[in-house]
Amino acid sequence: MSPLKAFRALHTWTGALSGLLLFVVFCAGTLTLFPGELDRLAGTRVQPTRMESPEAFAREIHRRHPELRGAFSLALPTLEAPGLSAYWQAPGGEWVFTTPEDLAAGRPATPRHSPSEFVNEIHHSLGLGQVGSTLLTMVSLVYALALLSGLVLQGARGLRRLLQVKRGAGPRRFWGDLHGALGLASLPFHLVFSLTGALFGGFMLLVSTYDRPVFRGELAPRLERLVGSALPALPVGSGGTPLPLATLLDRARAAVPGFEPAYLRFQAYGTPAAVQILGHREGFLGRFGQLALTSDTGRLLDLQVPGHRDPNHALLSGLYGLHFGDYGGLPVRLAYGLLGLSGTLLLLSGQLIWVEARARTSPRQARLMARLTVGTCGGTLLGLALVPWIGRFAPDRLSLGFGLTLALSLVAALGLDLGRVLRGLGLALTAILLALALRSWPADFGAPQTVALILALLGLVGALQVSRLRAIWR
Amino acid sequence: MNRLRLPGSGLLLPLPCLSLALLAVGLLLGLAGESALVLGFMLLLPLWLSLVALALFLQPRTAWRLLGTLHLAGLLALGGIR
Repeated sequence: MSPLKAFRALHTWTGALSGLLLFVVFCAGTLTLFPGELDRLAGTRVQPTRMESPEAFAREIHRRHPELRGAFSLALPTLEAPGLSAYWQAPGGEWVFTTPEDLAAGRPATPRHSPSEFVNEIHHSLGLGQVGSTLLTMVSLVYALALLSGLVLQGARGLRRLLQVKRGAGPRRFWGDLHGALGLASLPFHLVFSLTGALFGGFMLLVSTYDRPVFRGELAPRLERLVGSALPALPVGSGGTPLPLATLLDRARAAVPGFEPAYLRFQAYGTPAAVQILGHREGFLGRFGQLALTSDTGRLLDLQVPGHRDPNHALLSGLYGLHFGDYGGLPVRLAYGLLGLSGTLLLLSGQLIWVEARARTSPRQARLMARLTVGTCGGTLLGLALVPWIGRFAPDRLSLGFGLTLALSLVAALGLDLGRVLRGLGLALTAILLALALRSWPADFGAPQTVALILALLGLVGALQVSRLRAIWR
Repeated sequence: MNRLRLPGSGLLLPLPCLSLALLAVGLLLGLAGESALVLGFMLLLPLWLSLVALALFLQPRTAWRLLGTLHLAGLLALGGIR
């Protein structure tokens, strides 16, 4: 087999193996860039009604939850999330949250099921926990191989045809050109995602791989200090009176000019112990960082803030920044959003080429792949469009709602006429997005509603043009 | 005597390339220590892709032999630095 044939075979099979799962990941990943907007669209982001000081709130939590022994965290009000909230790990390991409003009303701390967090879960693990995360690590590796082989194949087309998209030479040629040009144009973006995605997903797998053979079992116990945000262990209760939180926050700001605290993590609130302050410093690729102070003297114990980090923390937060695009404000997030959408088109065109290439030689394979593609992609889009609605009316049923939508879409695509399924999916998508955009018209109509409206119109155009799309699937 | 038949298509080559990249990163981590942990992990994928690109451009038989030799050398070196 010639090298070019080997690369082509590698590209075909890695693309076919990873394409559909990557479509789900890319769609969800694009939405994770806009968590605040997604929650606002769902109407689940409650504006705070009680203006409480962090100190009073922390004191009240400590009084009402003595079982925590002062080990909890506070999320300070920010522009994006103006409310104060607290969170800790329940005995079952689940993170639970409370707000001053909940505490005043006597409501227990509960897990948070917001649409943005659910979409994030889909992006990281397809909503399947550790199994999904491991699966996506493998998919990231396969995706990297597909990128490499795609680059070689595109390079072999010659300089003149590198970014050329020819119309009128048949659907296979058109989709092939579009696939190659899109892939090449957004290659750096895809390389970053495949590299960082594989790294984040497979980090613990790599740690366990190297722990014994290279680090003689000493890596795992030290990992939190090496790359995480471990609180320096201090003997609890062996010092003076804890300083007020406002003083500690001022000390943090003074220690690193430009550092803006966003979270406080207590080792043991109310006693002299370590307090970790997490926040961000603008103007850096990895803008998040943390520092730790003693609560009684305000002495600096640990500093991992942009500009003052060790190589592990600096590199890891830079990679996080690159993956999540949170370093440059709205323009960067919009650019990432557009690149994410072009990524979904890249994957979809790859599926179309696969189907087209086998339409004559292996029609059964082609038909099955076409049905799987329509079912998965349509179901994903429909499920994600439904997320704000489910998040509003049944937030603890988000997984069920999304999973059911995807399953029903797959069943319909596998069993019914593909044209009807496509039209039905397009119309359903239009209706859901239109309702979402116009839910609180005209009082609350902003950028997220406008985007929903545009996507609804695109869904409608797609539904009305199914006959044209079908020509490709014949 | 029949010659040893190595996998001929070359399509399985990414697997030994991955294990060789893992070995190389292990060597780097062994030499540089835990302060280069993230750097080492980050280099794994580019290293793997480079090896795959190289291996697929070689004759499969040559690629398998080269990868085998490099594995042996890597294992010996890793044993040496431990």
